[in-house]
Amino acid sequence: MKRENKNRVLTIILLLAIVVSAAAVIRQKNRPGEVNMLAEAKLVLYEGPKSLKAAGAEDLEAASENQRDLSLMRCTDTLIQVNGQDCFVYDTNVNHTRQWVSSYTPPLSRTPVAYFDFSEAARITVSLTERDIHTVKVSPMHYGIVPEIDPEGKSVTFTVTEPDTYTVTWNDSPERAVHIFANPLETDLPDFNDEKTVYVGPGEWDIESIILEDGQTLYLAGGAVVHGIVNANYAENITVRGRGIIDGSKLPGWKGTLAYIPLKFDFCNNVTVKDVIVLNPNAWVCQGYASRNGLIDGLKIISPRPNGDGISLQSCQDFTVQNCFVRSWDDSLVVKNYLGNSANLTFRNNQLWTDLAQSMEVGYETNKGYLPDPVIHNIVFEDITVLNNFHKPVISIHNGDNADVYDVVFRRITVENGRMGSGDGSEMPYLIDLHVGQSTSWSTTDERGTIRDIIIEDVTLLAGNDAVSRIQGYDGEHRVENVRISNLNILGQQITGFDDGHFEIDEATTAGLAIE
Amino acid sequence: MTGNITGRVNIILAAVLLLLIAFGFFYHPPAVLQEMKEENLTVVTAPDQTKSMEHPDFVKEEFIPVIPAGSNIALGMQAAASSFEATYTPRKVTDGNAGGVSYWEGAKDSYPNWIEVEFEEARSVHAVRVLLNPQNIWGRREQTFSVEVSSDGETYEEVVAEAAYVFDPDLGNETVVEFGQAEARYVRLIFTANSGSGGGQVAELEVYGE
Repeated sequence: MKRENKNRVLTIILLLAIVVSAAAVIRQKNRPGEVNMLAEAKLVLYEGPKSLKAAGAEDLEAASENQRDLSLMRCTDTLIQVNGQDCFVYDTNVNHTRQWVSSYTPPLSRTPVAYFDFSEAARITVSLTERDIHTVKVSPMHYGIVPEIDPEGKSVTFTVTEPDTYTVTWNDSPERAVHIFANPLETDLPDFNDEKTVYVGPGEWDIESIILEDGQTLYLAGGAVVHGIVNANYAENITVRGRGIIDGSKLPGWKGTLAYIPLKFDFCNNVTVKDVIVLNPNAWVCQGYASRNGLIDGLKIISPRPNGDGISLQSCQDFTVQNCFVRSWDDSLVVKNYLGNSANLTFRNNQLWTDLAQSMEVGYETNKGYLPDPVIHNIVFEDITVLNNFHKPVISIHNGDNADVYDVVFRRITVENGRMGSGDGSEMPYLIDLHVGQSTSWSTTDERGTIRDIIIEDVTLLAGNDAVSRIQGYDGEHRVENVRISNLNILGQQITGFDDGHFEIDEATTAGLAIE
Repeated sequence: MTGNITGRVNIILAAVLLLLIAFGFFYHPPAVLQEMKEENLTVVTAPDQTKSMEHPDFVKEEFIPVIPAGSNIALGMQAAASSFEATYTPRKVTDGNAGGVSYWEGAKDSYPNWIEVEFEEARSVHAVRVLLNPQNIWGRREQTFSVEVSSDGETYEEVVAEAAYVFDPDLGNETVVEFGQAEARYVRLIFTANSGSGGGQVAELEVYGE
């Protein structure tokens, strides 16, 4: 090779080196990713109560509450580190049974739960001591998180930058899915010297009941586990907040008689529930009853026992439910008329995992109180991610009484896994179900009602059954009218007609239905 | 020859340099931050405990009720009311059970609503003890009522003027109202307010007399 050719090659290589190194410097400087964010990351970890039993293999058996210890425990087969620090993992109860159990004692399983607060970014490593990892999914899927699986298949690592609930599902099974409540740092703490502030600190506490009165704030600190309930009756300006846990595992199941509702607000005005976690109540979980002006924000619920509805607003008005996580063994979010009308309720940016019954339900009870001129109106469900829906419809209005149900919107609903019709849900295997009818179990009035002016838009079913849906009134007078469905996508297929979407439509009892 | 060697060395050096830069560019360190900056990490510690404990701020003192003199002569007697809500019928107030859902409640928004007990014959009475379910989930409330007596069920005489009474589960969820000795076949409470519900509520209406 001639000298000048060699020099040319050398020059090209050197130039290339300069370009590459300059690019490397720019890339490193501008890298928005985890390195810079983690360098500034803040992290708050909460030790769990030292009294919690370490869950052993016998505790993880699926068994009824008569057959094993349901206590909240410390998880031992799933370990979590956040930014290299150990994070306490709880082991609570869940229910994989897909059918009603008349004895009220279905077999319960267990699943790990952890929480922490952070800013900027959190690098999470989840390790399994007893099982191998073949596949892993981190939900919500819209974050596009692709975890790194270690070569031995025993742990995964991923980074999150948005406070939210992250659920790790192993090997395409709901068993032992890990729920991680990655909270934002806590701000605007209440004044702990204020006599109206009730403070419960870290540790495991037996408190039979905490009854809030006008102006009171209950603060459950992170690290607290309270075995008890929090109720208010005819109270105004009350708040329940903090990062602690309300746990019902010491209570026997309600079996249709004695329900200890962990968060119950009857005839209240101006209610705020923020951030707290509720695990294993003996019946349903968060009840607003004939109350006004509510904000339920960041509440986390895992309920495994019969009638374990998540957030149930009964004859409430002017409530917003947002940023919540609800995993429940009955309806996750539900609106009913018990005593008076329901109006102006918005459910926004919530994550649901519905092991039994419906994810977003209006009904069946629409006039339990037998009042004149019952209505349910202006109800909005938007930006909802349904991680799993295993049993009955995802989106449903079941008018079981004589109310006029109108102006209900379901928009931007993503169903990651819709297995409607599992177990004894086969009688209602619907993705969408709008129905006026008489229920032998839940109807009160002899007269029937109507459903009208319903908008369902931007609904996506990512995986699961090739779903069917139903729109059916009761008769020519009690119809389902003016329903507009748009941008419905089922398993990758854009639905442009009712036939495409496998809709069962009763022409005689419906009118003004459109899909586009 | 020397020029060739120098050129080759230069090429090798440049290639190594290039490789090093490329390695720095494409290599991702695996664990980015194994140890956090100490000032950015907060660990909230848990107290030492071996079992779940009663929380000291929520321990209730034992309540010892004050029972009026004489005996409860209303137990098992007939009861009537101006109205009732759902299944909360008047007979519940004389069944000896203040627990569960054994209580009377006046129909919502129908004040004044009243509840009364009727004896088989006129009796000498001097106090009433009004009970609600003592469970905490009932919550503290204030009820406003007056007490009237009658010998014939038509003409009533007020023996205690309207007043507000606190019912607090921490204090038994009950109240005792004493008055001067009166002859009565009927004893009636007339409710005009209840901060805990839409109508008057009574789980047991005990009447003390001879």
